[in-house]
Amino acid sequence: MKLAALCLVCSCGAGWACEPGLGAVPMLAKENAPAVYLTVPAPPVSEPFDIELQFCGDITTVSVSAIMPAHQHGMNYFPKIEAREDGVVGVSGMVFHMPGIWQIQVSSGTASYTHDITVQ
Amino acid sequence: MIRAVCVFLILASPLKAEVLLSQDEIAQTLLHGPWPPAIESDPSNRMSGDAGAIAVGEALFSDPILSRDMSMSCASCHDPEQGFSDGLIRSKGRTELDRNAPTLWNLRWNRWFGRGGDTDSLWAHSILPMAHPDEMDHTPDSLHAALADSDYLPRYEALFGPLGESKETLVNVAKVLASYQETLITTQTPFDGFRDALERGDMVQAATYPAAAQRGLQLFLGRGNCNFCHLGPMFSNGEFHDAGVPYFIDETRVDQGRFGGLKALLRSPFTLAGEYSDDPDKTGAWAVEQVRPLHSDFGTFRVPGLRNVAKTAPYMHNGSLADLTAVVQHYDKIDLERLHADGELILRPLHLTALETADLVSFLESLTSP
Repeated sequence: MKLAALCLVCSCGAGWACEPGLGAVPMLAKENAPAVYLTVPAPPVSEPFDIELQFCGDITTVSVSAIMPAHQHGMNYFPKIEAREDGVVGVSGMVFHMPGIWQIQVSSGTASYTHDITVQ
Repeated sequence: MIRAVCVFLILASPLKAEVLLSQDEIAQTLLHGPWPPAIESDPSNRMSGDAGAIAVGEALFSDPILSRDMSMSCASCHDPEQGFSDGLIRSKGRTELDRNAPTLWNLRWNRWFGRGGDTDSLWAHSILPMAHPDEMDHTPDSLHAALADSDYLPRYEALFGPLGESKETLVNVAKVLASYQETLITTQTPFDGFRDALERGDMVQAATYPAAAQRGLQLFLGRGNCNFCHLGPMFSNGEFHDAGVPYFIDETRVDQGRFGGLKALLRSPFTLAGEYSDDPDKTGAWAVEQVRPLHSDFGTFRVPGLRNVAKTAPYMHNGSLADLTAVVQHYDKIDLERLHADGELILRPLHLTALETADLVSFLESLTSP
């Protein structure tokens, strides 16, 4: 469980200059939280894939998860989160093990963000 | 001219009409192939793909030398003539075991092994029956001694060098067994012929796939929600779900399923992240390092692939369903009270007609090689 907790949360530095990368999409934020941009491929079903996050503001900790709202379950794996020197937060080991609508959930400090994605 | 076009349409339509699937259903069908997937060696097993190791593994597979009292071999429970299962409800080792013997086909593409996912490689999983006291009951030392006194020794040493310490011997024997099991790949099925014809756009050929199987496939993709879990070329997502099958073994014991499998996995030295893997890059170790134990793992079991399913009765982790009709009827009338209270909102009674049940069975049978 210790390993899992370490994987779930990273200590990250200040936010990078906020220029979303090619293909990045803004995540849906609650209220007036600084923007977060998500780069996500078309997820392969039941295979690991990576996403990238760009934060438009200072960040201290980041947690990432995903759920299937219609089925009331999340992922069977903890994603591994890594703050990179270019300011991008890389997230590896995401696995969507069923087709359908998944919701990626990101938290940073008190701010939380979501993005819905359909897996074929 | 108009008459000519109408005549052509009338003549052509019966053939085209026999492909019953919509464009969306065809797109979903294509995702269940092509078969087989790409074949790659297992980097964690240096014997993977080695012809000499495969030959030794095949011989050992049917040799009772792998049981301490010489009473059984791997083939006793995984009989090639019975779909690499044994036809029993629950297998018999030195005593009646707790689960139905799963088939060994197509294991090389698994992420997890065994019904509870106790292991993350085929070689690691091959250790378990050899060492289990209710099954072949070998200790590393007893297996080491049996091998040293056998005709296998020269062939073993040609593969691995001089016989080393006993735990290493156990792992090496498991690795040659795995190299043989990797070769157990199912062949093309009637479903694959249909699927490949659809991909080519050959509707005439596709239309030769029986209408009952097509209707069953439509149910499988649609109202049945079967391909939420039985997806891709393997017809499995490789993960663990609660299918509403009782997990009581008897009045006093329960089968913990994935919950117990994960406990075993996380304390095992034989994982892709461990020292017995031959892969310096630890390919695939992410899964054991990042797997997330959940309370809802209790009583869940790995989704089996469905290829050659008609050859592996009885079904489910406890062998409680005698045939494919019983399996379809189980899901048709699923007891929601048996599912986890916080379980997935996928399984619902289907209220199938007798014809629909027969159609689903026809489809499942078409996943089996002739």
